[in-house]
Amino acid sequence: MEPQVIHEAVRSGLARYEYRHFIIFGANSEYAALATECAGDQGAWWEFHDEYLFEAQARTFTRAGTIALAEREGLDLEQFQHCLDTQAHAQRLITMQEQAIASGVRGTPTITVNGRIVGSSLQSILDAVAEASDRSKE
Amino acid sequence: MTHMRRRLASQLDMGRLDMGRLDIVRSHVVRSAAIRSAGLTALLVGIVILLSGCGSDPAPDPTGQPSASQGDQAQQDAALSYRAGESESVETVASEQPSSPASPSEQSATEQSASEQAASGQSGQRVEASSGSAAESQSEPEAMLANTIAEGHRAGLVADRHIVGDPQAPIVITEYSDFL
Repeated sequence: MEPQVIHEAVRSGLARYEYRHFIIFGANSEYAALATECAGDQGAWWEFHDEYLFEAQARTFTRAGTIALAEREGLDLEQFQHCLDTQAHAQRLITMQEQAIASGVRGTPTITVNGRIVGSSLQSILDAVAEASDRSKE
Repeated sequence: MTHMRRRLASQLDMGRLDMGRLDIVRSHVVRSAAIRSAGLTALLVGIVILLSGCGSDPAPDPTGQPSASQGDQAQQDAALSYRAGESESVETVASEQPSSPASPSEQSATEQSASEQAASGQSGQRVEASSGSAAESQSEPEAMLANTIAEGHRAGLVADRHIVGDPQAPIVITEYSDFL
C-alpha cells in the first residue's frame, strides 16, 4: 500500500510513513529484517526494503544472497557481515515486535493512522488520514 | 383384282401390325417419359437436398486451408474456450502460437481462433485494455515509490531508516509488515 499512501499523503507533508517489521514467517523473514537494519547503518535501508519486498527471490534470503545484495549496493561488506553475524539489531526487532503486539497488531499487513488500526485499502487509509487531519485542526 | 385385294389386305394387316407396334412403342415411350420424369424429379430433389445441405455447412476457410473434420472442430472449440478462459488478447494468442503447428488441424484451429477473435473485435480490445491497465497498475506503484523515495532523499524527507516524510508531520501512518 505504501506507494499510493506516500504519493497521496506523505508528499504533501500532511503525514509521514513508517515501516515496522512484524515478523511472522520465521527465520528467513527475521534474517531479512536484520539485514535491512544492518544496511540502514550504511544508508541503504530502503534499498534493501525494496529488494526484499518487491524484487526478492528465494536466494536473496540466504546469507550469500544478502551479501551479494550488499555488494551490489556498494556497502562496506566487512561492517555489514559483522552486523549480521553479531545480530546487532536483534533487540531493535524484538522491541518493534512487542510494541506491535501491544498495539493490537496480529498479522500483516496492518496499518495504523496515529496508532489506530485502519483498513488496508488505500481509501480506508486516506479516509483515516483525512479524519485525523480534521481532528488535528479542531 | 383379287391379287390387289390380297395386297391391300396384306398391307392392312401389316398396317394393323404396324399400328399395333406403334401402340406398343407409344406406350413404351410414355412409360419411359414417365420414368424419366420421375428420375428427373428425383434428381432435382437430390440436387435441392445437396444444395440445402451445402448451405448448412460451416463457412469455408478464407485462408483456403482444408476444412477441419468434426474431431478437429471439437479441438478448435476446446482451444477457443481455453483461450477465452485465460482472457488473452488476440495479439497474445497469436504470439504464443508455434511458428509451425504440429498438424493441419492445429494450424486450422490457430487460424480460426485468430480470425474469430479478430472478428469479435470489441471483446478482444476489452481484454487487451484490461491487461494493459493491470500491467500499469503493477508497475506504476513501484515506480512511484522509487521516485518518491528518491525525491525524499533529495529533499531530506527521509528522516530515519524506516521513515519517509517530514518527521514533524502531524499524522503518522505505520505499516506493520513482513518481507516474505
